Amino acid sequence: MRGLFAAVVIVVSALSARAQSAADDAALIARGESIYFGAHASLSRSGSARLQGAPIPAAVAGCVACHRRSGLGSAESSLLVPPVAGFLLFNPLLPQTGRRLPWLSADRARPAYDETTLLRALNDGVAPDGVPLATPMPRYAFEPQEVAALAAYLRTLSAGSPPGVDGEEVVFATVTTPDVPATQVDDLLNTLREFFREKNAGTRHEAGRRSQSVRTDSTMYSRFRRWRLEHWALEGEPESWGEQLDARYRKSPVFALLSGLSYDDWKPVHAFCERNRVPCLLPNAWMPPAREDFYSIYFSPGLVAEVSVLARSLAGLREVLLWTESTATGARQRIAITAAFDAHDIRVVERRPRADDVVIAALPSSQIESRYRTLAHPPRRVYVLAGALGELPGDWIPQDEGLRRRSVLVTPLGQGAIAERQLARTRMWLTRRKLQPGSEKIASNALLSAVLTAETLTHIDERFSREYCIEKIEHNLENLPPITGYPRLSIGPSQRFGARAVHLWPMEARSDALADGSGPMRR
Amino acid sequence: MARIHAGWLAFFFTVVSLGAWANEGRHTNGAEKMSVGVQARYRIPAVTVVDTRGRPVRLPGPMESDTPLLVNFIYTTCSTICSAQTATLAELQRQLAERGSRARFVSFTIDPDNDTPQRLAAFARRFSIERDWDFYSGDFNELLRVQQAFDVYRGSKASHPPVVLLRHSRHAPWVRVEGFATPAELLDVYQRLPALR
Repeated sequence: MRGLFAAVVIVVSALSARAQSAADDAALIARGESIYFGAHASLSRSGSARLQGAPIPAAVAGCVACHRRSGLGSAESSLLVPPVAGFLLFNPLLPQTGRRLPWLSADRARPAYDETTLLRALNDGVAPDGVPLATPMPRYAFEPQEVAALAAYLRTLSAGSPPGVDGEEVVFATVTTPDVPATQVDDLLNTLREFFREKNAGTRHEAGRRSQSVRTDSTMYSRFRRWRLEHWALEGEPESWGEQLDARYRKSPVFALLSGLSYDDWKPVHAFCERNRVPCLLPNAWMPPAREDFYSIYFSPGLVAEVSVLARSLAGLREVLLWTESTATGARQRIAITAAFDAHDIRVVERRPRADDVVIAALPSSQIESRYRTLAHPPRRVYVLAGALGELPGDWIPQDEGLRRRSVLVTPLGQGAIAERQLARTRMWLTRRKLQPGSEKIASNALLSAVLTAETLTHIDERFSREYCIEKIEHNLENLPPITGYPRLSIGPSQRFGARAVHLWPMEARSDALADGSGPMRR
Repeated sequence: MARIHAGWLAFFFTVVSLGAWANEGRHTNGAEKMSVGVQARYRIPAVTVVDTRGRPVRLPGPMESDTPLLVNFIYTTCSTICSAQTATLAELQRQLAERGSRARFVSFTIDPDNDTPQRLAAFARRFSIERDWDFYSGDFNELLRVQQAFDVYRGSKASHPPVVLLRHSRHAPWVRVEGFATPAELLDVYQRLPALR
């Protein structure tokens, strides 16, 4: 009995020792993480981080500023920031490694770092082989125990493959919310499915080359995998969407959410992505959260930006009338639009329009036309928030002459010759595949998300780090040939909205342009 | 250009070799070495930009003064070059102040859609920049003209080169410093800026 008791004591203490050690490890990694992100007290001490002798603020001194969340480094102009993820830093860098990892210069060989040489590099600016580090690398005043914590965190960076990827397949999902008309869901899915079908037809040969290649750089083929698309159609009210997404993700983990479509609250999807570290690549979301996080990249800030630019142009006006759909989604849009106008001291009022009123319309185009026809007194102006429309700016001209004269489109999208030239590429792609989407806006945006993702995944290492994927997109988005209606799309580190500019396009000017043949080209 | 005397050119060659890294063999440090050159051809275009208080500023106006001028190009969400270069220039400004020398600094954003006057003001505060330094935003196409005028436009903001342009006064030629110069190296260039065209 006493023996049994002793055995239990030993097992319990061994287990608790192991639990204690796991907790110690987690605390060590957490400390390292706060150093990496520039949040640790050691970086706030005055003069603890210096760049060429000058003190630099903690926000810039954190490793993440340059080496990025993936720890795989970055490139900006002529400057190459080397990777610091543990699997690379604590191993020798050989010329072969340089070839395998394309962002490394092939001739920068160095011995493996350990915690002693890492401390020396951070504090004195010298690599393990005595080579001085580059000028833009700050010098620090770390203690050995701080570097031990940092090293523990570095070992966790880009370690292992993320969910949604195996040796053969990359899985994506596209999310739609229940407010989206079925025809628009079809436009989204048909475009993406056609892209996936062609992508996989080409990838088939790459998979073969991977197994047959005898060259040392055969690893390049290991980036090619079959792509699979799931459609996650959310149901019910936004409060339940987070749970629905978690359930879908548990059942079938995906590497990223690709495109997507919603006129309703996108916050639950955004939160899901940040929570699970799932990239969310360019959804057509009109109501994304205002804050820019890491994993979600949007075309534009949507409703809030449209209202904010409009409100500034209406400076001096005290009140506006607002048309929204009489649905639950319409009610949520109404709340968001009202709050955005409130921030500019413009009140949204409910009454029949008078002749000098300004109306804000957040409705599908057909409903704007029918609602306008019922008015006894036409308002002074109808500002159409074009994010609520399925159409591109060139695709809807009001039938009613009075509405045409009074309405102004508020949109991040461009119009006229440049926008038409950009969209011509997408139209050609669609026509060749016998796709005739009702909404070229949705089709062109979906196509860009897919092209961007394909382009990005061919440039990343076989590890498929989701963070590195996002960091590559920060570079790639601006360099893609433009195929959507957005005049410019560009993001960057901590910048997650591709198009921030919002334009006001008077309808009348556009219909004149159509009449003289310089306007939108119709198919 | 032709009238720049030989001593000045000799100085540039010295700086170029100073800028070269002391590394031996085939090691590289990931950053291009610093280089300095005299360029007479830059002409500040007549465009309107916006300062950090949101006031429109017609160029070249305030840039055509007889105070020494330093110009660079940044964007506030830049991860590497812009912060490093701004910290360097802020340190140079401090060192110049210590020497009783006063220069004017101008930073143009290359990402005006995102870099509102407020964001640029916050960026300046981060580096404790208080005076004699303007941060300009404005219309994308107008700022594009400024980038093209100074030959720093490279197609996308992630490709923008680390460049500082210096000028002694409005009739003096521009001096272009490429790469990552230290505050000491920039101070050296500054103190030898050619005064006459």
